[in-house]
Formats: sequence, C-alpha cells, structure tokens
Amino acid sequence: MGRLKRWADQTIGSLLVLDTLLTYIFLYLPIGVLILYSFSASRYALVWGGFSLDAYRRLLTDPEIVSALLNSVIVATSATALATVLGTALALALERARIRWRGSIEAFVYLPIVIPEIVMAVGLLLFFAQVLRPLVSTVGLGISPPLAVIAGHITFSISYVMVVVRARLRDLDKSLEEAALDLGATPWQVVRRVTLPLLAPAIISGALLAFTLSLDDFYVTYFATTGGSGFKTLPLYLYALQGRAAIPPQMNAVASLMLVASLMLIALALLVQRRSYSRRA
Amino acid sequence: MDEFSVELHEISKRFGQTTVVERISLRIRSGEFFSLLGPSGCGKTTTLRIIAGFESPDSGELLINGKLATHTPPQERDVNLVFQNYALFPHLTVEQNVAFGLEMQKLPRAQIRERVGKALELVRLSGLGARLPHQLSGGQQQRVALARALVTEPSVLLLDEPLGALDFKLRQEMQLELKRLQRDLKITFLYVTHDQEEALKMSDRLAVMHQGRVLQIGPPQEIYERPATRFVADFIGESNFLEGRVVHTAGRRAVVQIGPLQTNVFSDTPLQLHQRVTLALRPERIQLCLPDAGNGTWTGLVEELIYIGKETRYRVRLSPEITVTVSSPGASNGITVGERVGLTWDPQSLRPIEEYSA
Ligand SMILES: Nc1ncnc2c1ncn2[C@@H]1O[C@H](COP(=O)(O)OP(=O)(O)OP(=O)(O)O)[C@@H](O)[C@H]1O
Ligand SMILES: [Mg+2]
Repeated sequence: MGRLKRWADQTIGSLLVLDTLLTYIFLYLPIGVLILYSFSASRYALVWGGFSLDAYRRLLTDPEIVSALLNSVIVATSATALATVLGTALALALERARIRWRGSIEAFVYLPIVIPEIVMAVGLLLFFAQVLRPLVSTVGLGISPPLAVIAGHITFSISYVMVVVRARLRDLDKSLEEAALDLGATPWQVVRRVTLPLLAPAIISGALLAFTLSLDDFYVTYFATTGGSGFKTLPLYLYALQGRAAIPPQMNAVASLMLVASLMLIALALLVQRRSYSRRA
Repeated sequence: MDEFSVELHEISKRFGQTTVVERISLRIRSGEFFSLLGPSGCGKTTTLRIIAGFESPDSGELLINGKLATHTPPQERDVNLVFQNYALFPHLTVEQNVAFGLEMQKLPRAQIRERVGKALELVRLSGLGARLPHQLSGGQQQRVALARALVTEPSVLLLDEPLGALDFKLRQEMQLELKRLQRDLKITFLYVTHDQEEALKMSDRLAVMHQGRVLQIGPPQEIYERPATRFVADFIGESNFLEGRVVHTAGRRAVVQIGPLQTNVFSDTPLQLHQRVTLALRPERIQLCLPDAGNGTWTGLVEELIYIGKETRYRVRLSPEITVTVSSPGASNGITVGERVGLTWDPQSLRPIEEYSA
C-alpha cells in the first residue's frame, strides 16, 4: 500500500514537472526563435542564414523604421502623459470624493480592460468618423492621424493607470490625510503635499504600464488610422511587412527590440512598486 | 481667555443603526488636563473626531473657545489631534513633519526653522530632525507626533491614547513628560485613554464614558472616592458590591442590613427607610483585624489568599451568600487560608451607589 502510494506520488510528481516544462517550452520557444532569427544573415526573415548583426544595422538606416519608431515614441509619450494625469485624477475622485453613481462610473472605467480590444477599436473608429471629425470640422479644424491614435491610446490607458493608482490609494492610511487637514492644510494642499507624494510609486508604475501598452498596441492604432493615412507605429509597420512577398529580417530585429523594451519597462514598474512597499513596512 | 476651551452640548452621533455617542455634554476649562476614560469601543475616539472636525454630529452643538464650531472644517479649528497611530507623514523627515503646520500658516522660513528646533528640543528629539519616521522607535515617533501637534500652539490639544503603543516603563516616563509639557505650555489637553490609572494620575478632571454616554465628571479623587454608579465604581479601581436594605435612618446616617450583617452608612443624599441599596467598598479600604471584635466589625473565613508583591489579596467569606475581596499592603503576616479574620473600615469608605443598567 505504502509503496503503491509512493509510486503514485512519484509519477504525479514527474508528470507535473513535465507539464511545467512543456508550458515553458510552448511559451518561450517562439520568443527564443524570434530572437535567434533576428541575428540571421539571410535576406528573408523566415530563413536562417548564419549569424550576423545586419538586421539591426539596417534598422538605423531604413527611413521607414526610423519614422515608425519615432511615431511610436511620440504617441506613447503623449498618451502616457495625459492618461496618467486623467487616470490619477479619476482614482482620487472615485476613492476620496463624495460622488453620486460611484458604482456605475466604476463599471464604465473598468470596461476598457475587459471588453475585447477589437470592439473598442471599432467603436473608436466609428466615433472618430461619425462624431468627432464632423464636430471638429464645423469649427474648421481636423483631426490628424497621430492625434486620433493618441486619443485612442488615452482611452484605454486611463483604466489601467486608474486601477494601479486606486489600489495603492485604498491601502493609504486615511489618518495621514486627516493629520494634514488637522494641521491647517486645505483639501487641495492635502492632495499636493501628502496624497500625491505617497502615491508617486503607483503613479509611476501606472505610467510605465500605459507606456508599454501604447507601444504594443495594434488594434486601436490600426482602426484609428484607417483611410490610408500612411501614419505607422512600429506594430503597424511590422504588420505591413508581413504582407509582403518576401519578409525582410528587420521584422525580427524590431520585434526583438520591442520585446526587450517592454520587459524592461515592466521590470521597472515592478521595481518601483516593490521598493515603495518595502519602505513602508 | 474664555473660561472654557471646548464645550459639547448634547452631542449625538450615529453610525447606521448604532448610536456611538449619545447626548454628551462636557465643558473643558482653559488650561485644564481633562481625560476621557472608558473601555474600548465606548466612543472616545469618535468624540475626539467630532471635536477635531472629522465627524459631524447628528445633533448637538460644539463650541471651541466660546465660538460655535459644530460645522467648521477641521483645518480652521484651533485644535490639533495626536492620532492613536501617530499618523506621521512617511515621506517627510522629522523636521519636515514638525514644520508642516507652520508651512500651512505661511510663516517665514527662518521663523519656521527656529520654532521647529524649539519644538524638537521640547520633546527631546534634537539631532534626529533629518531622520524619516520609519527610522525611529515607537517612543520617538510618539514624540514627533506630539511636537508636530504642539508647534502651531493650538489652544487645545486632543490626544487619542498617545501612549497606548508604548511599553510600561516608557509609558510611565512619557506620562510625566506630558504632564510637564502641559503645565509649562498652559495648553488645554483633552486626553483619551482606557487606562484608569493613567487618567487618575494625570488629569485635573476626567469624564468616565460607557456605551456612548458620560456617566460621571469630576476630579480624580472625587471619581475614585465617590463613584456615582456601579460601572464607575467597578471600572475605576475595584470594588466590592454589597446589596441590602435600609433598616434605620438618622439624618445622613443609615443602618443597612446585608443578609445577616449590619453596617452604618453615611451618604450625601439621605437614604429612605426600607429602600434597597447597593454599597461599594474598595478592597484596599478594608483592614483585617481580630475576629469577633464586635464594634461594627465583621468576621469571616479566608477562602483564598494571593500574594502579588506590593500587596496581598484575600477573599473572605462572610456568609454563605456574601464574600468580599480585601487587599492589604505587603505580605500576609502569617494569616493563612481557612483562618477566621475580622474586617473593619472607615464608614466613609462605604458608598451607596446608583444602579446603572448597562
Ligand atoms: N466609521 C464608523 N462606522 C461605523 N461604526 C463605527 C465607525 N467608527 C466607530 N464605529 C463604532 O463606534 C463605536 C465607538 O468607536 P470609537 O472608535 O469611538 O471607540 P473608542 O472608545 O475610541 O475605542 P478604543 O478604546 O478601542 O479606541 C465602536 O463600536 C465602533 O465599532
Ligand atoms: Mg479609540
């Protein structure tokens, strides 16, 4: 009996190890292959042609890539800046102000996180085409493609910033803000001198998250630029490459770099949060 | 200066269905050390928060320095609160914490620096100004909280169990320091505690609270010697309760029959003949004497004897239904369990009390 049980335990143990192993292979093998192929000397992305840094060298000289990279950075920076301000303000309002319909407002703010991104993208497209453009054009203005993309990215980033900031705000000892009031600070001074500084780590990680999501976004960007504007961010550029008969190896290099950038941003966000928590304890 | 720093008139506060503060009236004199004493959950913190302005009462009026302040926002009240958990700003240094209130008043830099220095000196923390709160011990944090609240020279300081988190020795030390500070600065202190010894030791006057109500207000000696209700007699110090009936009266003196025993009682308000009455008698006000000495002494059997260093405690059975606790200083002087002893006391120590239905 005991031996049978031990045998069963061992078997289950080995199966679990195997399962974990397969999961990791399944998850990371494609990424490994991608990185490996970004160092390929071949003229085709999907063919191995020996080791070389050609693909990376070509990144810097290809004007299309440089412009896509620039667009991505501009979009991500502006969208992040605005989404961080708005998301933080929203978190403060939901958590600290006495407002009506708190429940419904909350639900609407969480919506962009849970609904399929494609739905959101199509919605934005319709909104821009049918509502915003006609509205803006009545006062003689237009919405340029980058502005549309930035606006789109802001709409989904706000929710993420809000969620991160709000979690921290909930943990924040309310008596700190009361102590500031008690010492004569006005509510606005309390926010500026006490609440915001204590929220800083959460705000920074929220911003980094928003930046990563913006860099990475495809659907919203794609639909916000339909109409053949030619405005391309890195994901759009990669998608366009993929449509060509012979895919150039820069695709692998761009994707690898984006991967590294995303990983670094996320690690940074985690680090900022970890450090602030350990200090608080 | 107004005669009263803080006045509460019939203040009530409900949270949902439960009434947490029920028609509390208090008048705290300027420069007084006044304590709110009561068990956990009796509404002490809520009362302080109403005075500080963080809760608004459902009914009643609050006056600070003679001016109506029931609905004044907290930042405009001339009172500062030392929080139960200190609530130091974790991102600011000790100096910046203490300077906070002065900066809100927009004082010139030089003046702020000078007053912060003085305040830190006052609480004996000079030299630790550059530290962050988490780099301080509990006692040091407590003193930063005190300095931060004192530096703006409010006319009233509200303290919510400020010594609750400190160990016994440090607590004793800080009690003396707080008392010294209060005397030197002549600021009104409204001090919340659930430690009766602390309240008795430090206060000019105190109010005993129970379940949202104030049961008795008075100087420590009066509260201790003349508790008005059974709850106060039991919560402050310790009491034996004896229930009996008045069998004879003569002016302020009455004779009360308790089971088979009789005793003389003196009371401020005359007792009625045949009235039922509860008498409170503190264990330390009973002396042991020879058994069967007559002369109003009682005789009983020592059932239990506990030596706890500074005193010895005896449980003495006087009749099948009646036992009393006696405590006398020092060791037992040869008295043993099972021995017959006599009990005697000053009739003034035997207090008739109101029954308070808790
Ligand atoms: N915001 C609130 N909502 C609901 N109930 C509350 C709230 N604040 C306090 N109470 C309740 O009111 C009662 C009194 O609370 P309070 O904090 O004033 O007690 P306390 O005398 O300060 O107790 P302690 O000595 O434990 O600090 C408690 O029963 C508590 O649960
Ligand atoms: Mg309390």
